[in-house]
Amino acid sequence: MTTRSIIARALLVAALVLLAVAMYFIGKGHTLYLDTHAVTFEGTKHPAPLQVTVQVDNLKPEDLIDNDRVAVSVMGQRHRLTIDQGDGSAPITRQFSIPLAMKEAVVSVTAALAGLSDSELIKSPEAAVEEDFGSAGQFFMMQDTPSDSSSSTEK
Amino acid sequence: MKRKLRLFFIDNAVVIVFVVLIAAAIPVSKMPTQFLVQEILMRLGRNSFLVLSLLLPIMAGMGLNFGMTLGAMAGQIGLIFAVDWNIVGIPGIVLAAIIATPIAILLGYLCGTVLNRAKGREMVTGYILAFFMNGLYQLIVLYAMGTIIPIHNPELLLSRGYGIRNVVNLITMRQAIDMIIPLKVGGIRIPVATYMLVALMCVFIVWFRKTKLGHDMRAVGQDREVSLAAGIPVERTRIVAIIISTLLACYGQIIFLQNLGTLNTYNSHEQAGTFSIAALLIGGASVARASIPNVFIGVTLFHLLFIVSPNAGKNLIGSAQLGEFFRQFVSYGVIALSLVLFAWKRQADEEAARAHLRVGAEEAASRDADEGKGASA
Repeated sequence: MTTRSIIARALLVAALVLLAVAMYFIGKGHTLYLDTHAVTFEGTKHPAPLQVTVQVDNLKPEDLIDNDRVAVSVMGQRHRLTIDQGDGSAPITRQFSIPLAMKEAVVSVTAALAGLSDSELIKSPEAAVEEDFGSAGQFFMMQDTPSDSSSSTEK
Repeated sequence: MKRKLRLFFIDNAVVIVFVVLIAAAIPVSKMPTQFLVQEILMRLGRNSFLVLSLLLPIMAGMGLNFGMTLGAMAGQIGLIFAVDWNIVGIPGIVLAAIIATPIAILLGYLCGTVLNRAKGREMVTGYILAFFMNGLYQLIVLYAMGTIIPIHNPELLLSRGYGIRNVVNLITMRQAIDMIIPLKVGGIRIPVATYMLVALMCVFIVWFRKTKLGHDMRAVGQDREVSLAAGIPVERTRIVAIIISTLLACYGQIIFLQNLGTLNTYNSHEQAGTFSIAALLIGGASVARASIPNVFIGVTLFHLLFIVSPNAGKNLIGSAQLGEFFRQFVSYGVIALSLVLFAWKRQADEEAARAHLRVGAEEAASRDADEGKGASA
């Protein structure tokens, strides 16, 4: 094998690895739960919107009422949230990004309407449940997690 | 003229039998034309790539590559990882293909090396090799995944905590390629992007035949001894043919499964080889000769029969199950029929060649005798 062909093959392998890494980041799937529960931030309570139409990227718009939650599947980390309050005002658009490791995330529409930071906008389902139910939320999460239930069976 | 007609029927016996069968089955099945057209268009896109992967080993004189199952296994492993890492849509398919590529190349190399040690018995060796590798695949997927190989997605694992479930849901990638360019004509969906991939593959095969390696493969396919004497690295060329075929089968299986949207972890690859080979043979190919038109004719005829036979069976005998049995019978039967026809034709050709030689030798002997008589006179 000549040096030239070794270099060509090494470049091809490197290109394939790079493409694989790019695909990993671009194609990572996430389930977003669009949530309209009330949010309390630094002592201020932001009430749940009564009725909104929410759209993530160019997906099908979802109609939500107060204390509602709907799931949408998205690809990649950066997304655009468009909220139409239906009162004739201009729709609110918000860019956000989801951490790569977060398979599921709760997106607070209330926090987006209140203009809160990304840390309040995006929460893990565990954190959202704990916020809603306090310490009892952990109990509900344990009941739902399949890996936990299988390990308890083995014991 | 009579001999030409006879030769035509012998050469196209399988195609003719299938055309007659389908012509009889379609009216009996009472299926709407639009449905049949839709199904055939979908299945052409889904299966053609897999069947096209069989052409190169035939060109290299290695017969029908039953070892393509190895490529299908590699594709499935790639898909399992893509699902585990939750990579969706086209990126998921591309990532699955990239992961599967080195596995398919390695398996193709192993297969080619084994087939080089079993020259003249490539098909049966490939068939048994696929069984052997199926055992290894099951060992990896059933025991190593979830233990040695980390699998994070609990939905993929069996309830015991390791091993992949029987069915892997590919809903996040389902028809992702087909939907890149959505086209609907008269209520019939046409998977344009998949057809473009298949067309690209056809162009590759046509181009490959004209390359130095392609010429070498054809030479090796025609006569190994002469090729070796001409300085062609016969064994290397045969290995390359099998590697390319295995790799293409791997991509073909990914295309096939993304269209279905479901991966039967322990079965999908088993069907890939048999059904693809049956489709190619139905298209008029033989163990020693196959072309791109054979692929498309074969996939169309084979799947048309697949679609209509359950309904035809139900309408004729009152049992759709009979149609299912018929499907299985046809796929294995056509391989057997084609192999028997090929062996019979080869024997007939050899006999004809021997007879021709004998006649030639007798004529030469009588000529020598005449010349001898003339000289003595």
